[in-house]
Amino acid sequence: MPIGLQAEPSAGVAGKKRWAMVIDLRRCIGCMACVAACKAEYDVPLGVWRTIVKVKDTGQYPNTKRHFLPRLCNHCDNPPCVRNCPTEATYKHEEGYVLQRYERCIACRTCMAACPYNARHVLPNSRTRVKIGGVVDKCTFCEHRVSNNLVPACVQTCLGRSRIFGDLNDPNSEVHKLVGGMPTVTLKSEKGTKPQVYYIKPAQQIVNQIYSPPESYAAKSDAEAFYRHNKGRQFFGGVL
Amino acid sequence: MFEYMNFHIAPWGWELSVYFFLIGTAGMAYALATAPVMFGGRFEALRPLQLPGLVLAFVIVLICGPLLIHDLGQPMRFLYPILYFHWTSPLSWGSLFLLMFAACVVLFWWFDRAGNTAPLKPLAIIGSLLGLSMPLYTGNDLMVQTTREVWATPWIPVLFVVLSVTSGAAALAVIGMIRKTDDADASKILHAVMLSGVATTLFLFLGLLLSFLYGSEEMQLGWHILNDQFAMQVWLLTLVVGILAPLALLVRPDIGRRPQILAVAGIASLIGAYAFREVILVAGQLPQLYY
Amino acid sequence: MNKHFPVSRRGFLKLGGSTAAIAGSLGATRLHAMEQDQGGKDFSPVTGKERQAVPYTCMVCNIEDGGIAYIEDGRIVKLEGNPDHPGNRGKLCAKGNSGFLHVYDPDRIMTPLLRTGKRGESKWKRISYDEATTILASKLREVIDRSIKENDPAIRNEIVFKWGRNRTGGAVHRFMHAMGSNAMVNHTNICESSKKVGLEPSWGPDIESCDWTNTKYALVFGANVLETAYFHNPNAQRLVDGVVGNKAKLVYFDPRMGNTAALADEWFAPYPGTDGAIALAIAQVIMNEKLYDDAFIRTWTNVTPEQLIEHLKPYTPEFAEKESGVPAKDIRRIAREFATTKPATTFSYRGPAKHVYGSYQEAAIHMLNVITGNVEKKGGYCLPRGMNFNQPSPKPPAAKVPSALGAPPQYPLASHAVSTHMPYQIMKGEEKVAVYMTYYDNPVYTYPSSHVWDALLKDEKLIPFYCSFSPYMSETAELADLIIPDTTYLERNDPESMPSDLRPWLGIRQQVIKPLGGTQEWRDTIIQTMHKVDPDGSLGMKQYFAFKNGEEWVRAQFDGIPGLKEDGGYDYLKKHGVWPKYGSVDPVTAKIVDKNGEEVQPEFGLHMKELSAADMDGATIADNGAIKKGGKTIGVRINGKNMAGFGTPSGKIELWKASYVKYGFNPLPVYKRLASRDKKPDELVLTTFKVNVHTQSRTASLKYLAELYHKNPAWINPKTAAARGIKDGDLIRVTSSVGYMVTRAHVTEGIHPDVVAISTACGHSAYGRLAQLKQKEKVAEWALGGDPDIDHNVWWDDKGVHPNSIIKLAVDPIGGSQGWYDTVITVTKAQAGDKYGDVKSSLEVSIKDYEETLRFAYTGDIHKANHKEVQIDWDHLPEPHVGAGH
Ligand SMILES: Nc1nc2c(c(=O)[nH]1)N[C@H]1C(S)=C(S)[C@@H](COP(=O)(O)OP(=O)(O)OC[C@H]3O[C@@H](n4cnc5c(=O)[nH]c(N)nc54)[C@H](O)[C@@H]3O)O[C@H]1N2
Ligand SMILES: Nc1nc2c(c(=O)[nH]1)N[C@H]1C(S)=C(S)[C@@H](COP(=O)(O)OP(=O)(O)OC[C@H]3O[C@@H](n4cnc5c(=O)[nH]c(N)nc54)[C@H](O)[C@@H]3O)O[C@H]1N2
Ligand code: SF4
Ligand code: SF4
Ligand code: SF4
Ligand code: SF4
Ligand code: SF4
Ligand SMILES: [Mo]
Repeated sequence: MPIGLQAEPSAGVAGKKRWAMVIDLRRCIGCMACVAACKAEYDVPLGVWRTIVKVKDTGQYPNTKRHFLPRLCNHCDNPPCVRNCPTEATYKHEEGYVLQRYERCIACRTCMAACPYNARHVLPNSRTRVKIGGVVDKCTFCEHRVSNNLVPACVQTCLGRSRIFGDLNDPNSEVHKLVGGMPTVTLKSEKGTKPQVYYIKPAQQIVNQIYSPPESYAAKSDAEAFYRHNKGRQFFGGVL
Repeated sequence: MFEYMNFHIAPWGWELSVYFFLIGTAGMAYALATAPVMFGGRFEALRPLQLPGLVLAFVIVLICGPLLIHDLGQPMRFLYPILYFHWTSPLSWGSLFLLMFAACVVLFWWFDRAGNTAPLKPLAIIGSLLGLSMPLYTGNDLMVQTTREVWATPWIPVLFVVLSVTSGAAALAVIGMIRKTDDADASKILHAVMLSGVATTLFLFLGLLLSFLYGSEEMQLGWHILNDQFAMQVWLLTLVVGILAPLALLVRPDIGRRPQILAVAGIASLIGAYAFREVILVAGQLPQLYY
Repeated sequence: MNKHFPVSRRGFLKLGGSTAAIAGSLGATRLHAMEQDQGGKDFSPVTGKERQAVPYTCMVCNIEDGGIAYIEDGRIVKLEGNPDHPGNRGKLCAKGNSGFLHVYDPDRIMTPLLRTGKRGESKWKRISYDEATTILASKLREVIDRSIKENDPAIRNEIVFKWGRNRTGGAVHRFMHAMGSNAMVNHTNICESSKKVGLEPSWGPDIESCDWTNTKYALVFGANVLETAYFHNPNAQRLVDGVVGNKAKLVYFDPRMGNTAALADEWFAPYPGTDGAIALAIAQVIMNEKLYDDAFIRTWTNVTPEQLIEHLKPYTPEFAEKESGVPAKDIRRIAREFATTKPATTFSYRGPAKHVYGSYQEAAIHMLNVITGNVEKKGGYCLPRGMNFNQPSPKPPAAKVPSALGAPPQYPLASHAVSTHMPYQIMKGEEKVAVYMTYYDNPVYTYPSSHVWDALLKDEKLIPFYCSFSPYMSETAELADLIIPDTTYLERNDPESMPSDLRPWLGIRQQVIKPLGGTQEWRDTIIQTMHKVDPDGSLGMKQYFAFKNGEEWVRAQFDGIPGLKEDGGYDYLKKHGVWPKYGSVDPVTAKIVDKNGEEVQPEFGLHMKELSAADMDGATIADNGAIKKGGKTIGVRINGKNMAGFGTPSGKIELWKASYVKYGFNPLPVYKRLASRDKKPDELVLTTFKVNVHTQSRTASLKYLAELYHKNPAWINPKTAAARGIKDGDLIRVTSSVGYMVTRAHVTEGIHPDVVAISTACGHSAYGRLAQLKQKEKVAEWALGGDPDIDHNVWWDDKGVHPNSIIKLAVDPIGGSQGWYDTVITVTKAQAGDKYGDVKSSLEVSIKDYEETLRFAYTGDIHKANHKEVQIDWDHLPEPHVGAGH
């Protein structure tokens, strides 16, 4: 039984699948293959992302380091996005996915406001070939592939084999063993969202960069260009 | 590769801060306008403002509907929150209440014009409760976003109610002055409402600031953003224009109850009420945009 | 606000160490594979329908990984790695995943174009492929007729073919040889040629194939394996497997922190062009401390340990520290670790090789593997494995007269030619051009002092007729008289093989969809053209092009391959994309396993493979043990055994290179201090680099990649910037002897204080609207057009600034490589009136640079001064003769 308004947990429910992803940060090489593969898979337009890889340099020459943090929807077990959606356009699938019903979504962006991970975006209407637009979208954990017994597209192409996918409830699965046997962290666990994307060996810096705006000119000027581009458009709420 | 290659926009923009401001004002304007029907007695003094108050509420509802619909990515689906009603979503409740509130406004007006007084009292009560629910639910819309710390406090709905009460009174005061319905008793009520409202707002304003200052990393970034991009809205429009100026004007009842002064204080507090909402709504989203 | 905690590298290593231990213990529990299939199928997320799958070979960059194209309603919607491919094992990099955008690039040229305005004026008339090949054929025929009339076969060399990337499997040579021309100019000296020339004379092939997965120690010099290099995708996978899975140590040398440096256990930033000193010092420590493999050196090389010890005397770690800035104590430690950790391997790419004298640097690094006996060992430094396919018979004989174009005789050791010299040779009247053709080539963007190419191609006297086969309006193609667009790599046929795994493979490119909008692949264009050059076959040329189409041509190339026919021949390749299938990829270990889950082991120790009786039949054995047959060395006899050996005249590794010394170069690897090392204190060295999501000049128009990376501010160290009053993002002027450019500063802790690094792939002045950020302009009438995403959603507004025209021409006198990382510059804040993107450079200065660099060639006056140590008869060096470098 759900307690109060919290979602029914999907991880650890016997007899049910619970799809989850483990991202081994020791193996991520920042190649961005996942980003490109995901864009192609769904004809994801420019300016919105289902998955991204954050890059952060730390230290001082010559003791400089670079960190990568692949990011996508966490398919939270207690998804605030689902809770607040006025139309149940976004919902929790019994196998753990958090999914969208495009035909129902009114693009009120409540779910975007609710998601602490910026995992959601409004799909522009101008896309290359898929005609669905003007609704909110996000990573689906490649439900259409997974239900056909394939791994997600980003996992498929991951050069470092940093992304590992499987059923957390299957004791023989690799994700089950990794989550059980390795020190993993989830992002913003204090928000109570119960994310189901687990990270192996994150550097503290990159987890802590949570609220840091871009520091370098290179990133700042891009951010400004991004906001300039979006400013005149519908749904622009951001002010920089 | 550089540090960031992807960016996000804040999901909610000016449409919503305007909506929050207007609908709160309408809700409380309705409550004050129907107060004579509801309570009678001392509130009879507000009777001359009943029609202007109703018209104001009606006009605002007329603006807000299209504004809200326009803000949707799928405007044609504006009834879906009710059709696919989701009880854990404040927005679903809000849509329902908004529709019912609009109905109350129209019905009250209609029965009043038709001279049918019997339904007025229940309509006044129900409508005022629904009117109160407008700032409440808009505040809840933010409050339930437990992942955004600036919003996730029960003080937000309280603040929105207080702001709306002041705004409702302020709007009536302005109308009163324009229509020259010089009535000392009415001014007295409006003055009392506005003074206590603005005073409470000051209290809440300071409390919120403190919570920023003592807050987590997200709140600290919020504080930075406030002082950076929203300095004018926060310090000038909200604090000085929206709170301190009306307070100064209203603090001495003999001066504060003069219709012109009351109206000027009202305009200032209206500006402040909008600015405060914009600050909370927009700035509240920004700290985690880069996450 | 929010400053990040500075973290010491040591802290990091500790953290890494502790989790690595956990990973180790976990390794054993990772028995079960990821339960879901890894790929090979795909479904539409919209309709749920399975997509049609057609295999192909990737060519976004030139690693040639295997892929599968997924097609929905006749449109390629997605690409994926081919799971049967031993090289990339089912995975594509970011570029590979984005490759289908090449097909649907709105600015792709969809029809042959004939110039109507002045050169470069962008005025075109659309014509048909038939008209276009008629024009080209008549131009070619003119030259052939003139050659016949004047009875001078050398005239045929006025037909010039220049390519950058040529994966045609010999089709270009067939075409040119059929017409009797040898004037074929590649791009290899701007690519990696000195690496090749550092290796080939020593052990035969031009590259090493490291067994990353099984190594315990990888010593990598200027090869950004995790972002670039041969073989980016396959090697990156294996390097991660080695470093994380096998807990190998990765030590990386690069003046700049790219992603490889980021993963490395230790990253050192040497002064550019000093890798040779470091490698020689490492060798010295290994030799002096007797950590070398005595038996291997004595058995398998043409030198002795004593000889090496003597030769290495000057190269102390302290000397290397002085040259490179890398501490002597680290060099000593690394030398000991490298020699005592087994197996170990080095890898190097353009970082050390792309300098004047880069060949020595490569040879020095190569030597480290030889003296430690890591050659051809599991986990070590192995020979590349590839497969051959031939041009179908009948084959045209090689053209008679050698051409000096792009292969000047002053560079006899530069077996991959010196294409940078082509414009100067023509401008100076040394070489003549009548018909100039280009294939996959964009020198106006990609060459050093690129403005020289612009000047050359605009000069109608020097280049009377220019035909480009480019499907995109590149900086170079826009100067053509005739453009006959090729198709993209997903719509054409090519044979492929690359040593991207220790198991050799064959692959193909095929038309995964019908070429878009009636475009035609280059092979078809060549067949048509040759049928028009020699309509009745009387010139004897037509017979070589008796193919129905491009596919038939390629099909014929696979005829004689042993074993392929039994598996189904070319049709097998059409279906599977790659041959043979060694097994399937284990999803957890990524090893290629057989049905029982056992790894399919590659062969090691190729040099020790014994020759068969059939091999030995008719062979003779020379004094040094070399087994000769038909004038070629086919192996070497060692301790009475006839073994395959290495591809050198002696069959052994020839660390002592007779070919070098013949021209007065040092036969053993040495370090030569470069002019850039002697720069003035306020000067800096300009280096360039490639990024993981782009390749060369070809990807700026691919929207996913452009979105990820679109501008290239100049990397500069905070101290260096501060000394010049430059802040992050400031407009700066970068000035070399050739000219200046105005760009912005990217102040970063990730770069050597004496170095400024600017990436390639940005700053286009052509190559379609997206690359130039002109997507709001109307699409040209000859282009494909139509991507609403690009029309509306491009959010970035900076396309970067390209540095190539201020980069000085300077080549390695041995391998002929362009010294990309040797340009001395000054950096200042921009001056009044400077605009972002301004680039000015001088043709006169570049011509002087050409003359200057010739002085380093073995025929030049600086050569001898730089090689005082070489004891030869300096007055009787061989005479230069054309064709030596071909
Ligand atoms: N993503 C991607 N992959 C590619 C390509 C591509 O364009 N993009 N191109 C392919 C081709 S054609 C090639 S030739 C290869 C090239 O592959 P690489 O040689 O790996 O790539 P580069 O970026 O040219 O140079 C490698 C590194 O050398 C460093 N460097 C500069 N000077 C020195 C020096 O003096 N010493 C040392 N140790 N390092 C130095 C640069 O900072 C750079 O990081 O990549 C192939 N793979
Ligand atoms: N500053 C600097 N410059 C460099 C380097 C560097 O490290 N620093 N690296 C160098 C290296 S390693 C290399 S390999 C060179 C590469 O330099 P190039 O070989 O000149 O460049 P590419 O980008 O491979 O290809 C060039 C052209 O091929 C054409 N083309 C594209 N697709 C097709 C097709 O499908 N068919 C045909 N027929 N043509 C096509 C387009 O006109 C494109 O502009 O660049 C070099 N330039
Ligand atoms: S935008 Fe769509 S999915 Fe999100 S809350 Fe609104 S209706 Fe639900
Ligand atoms: S990551 Fe965001 S969008 Fe995804 S389930 Fe969690 S809250 Fe919802
Ligand atoms: S799981 Fe699928 S939708 Fe989600 S990031 Fe990966 S590829 Fe994109
Ligand atoms: S594909 Fe894998 S290794 Fe590459 S950036 Fe994405 S998560 Fe990292
Ligand atoms: S490295 Fe990437 S672009 Fe190059 S061939 Fe492989 S998949 Fe294609
Ligand atoms: Mo290259």
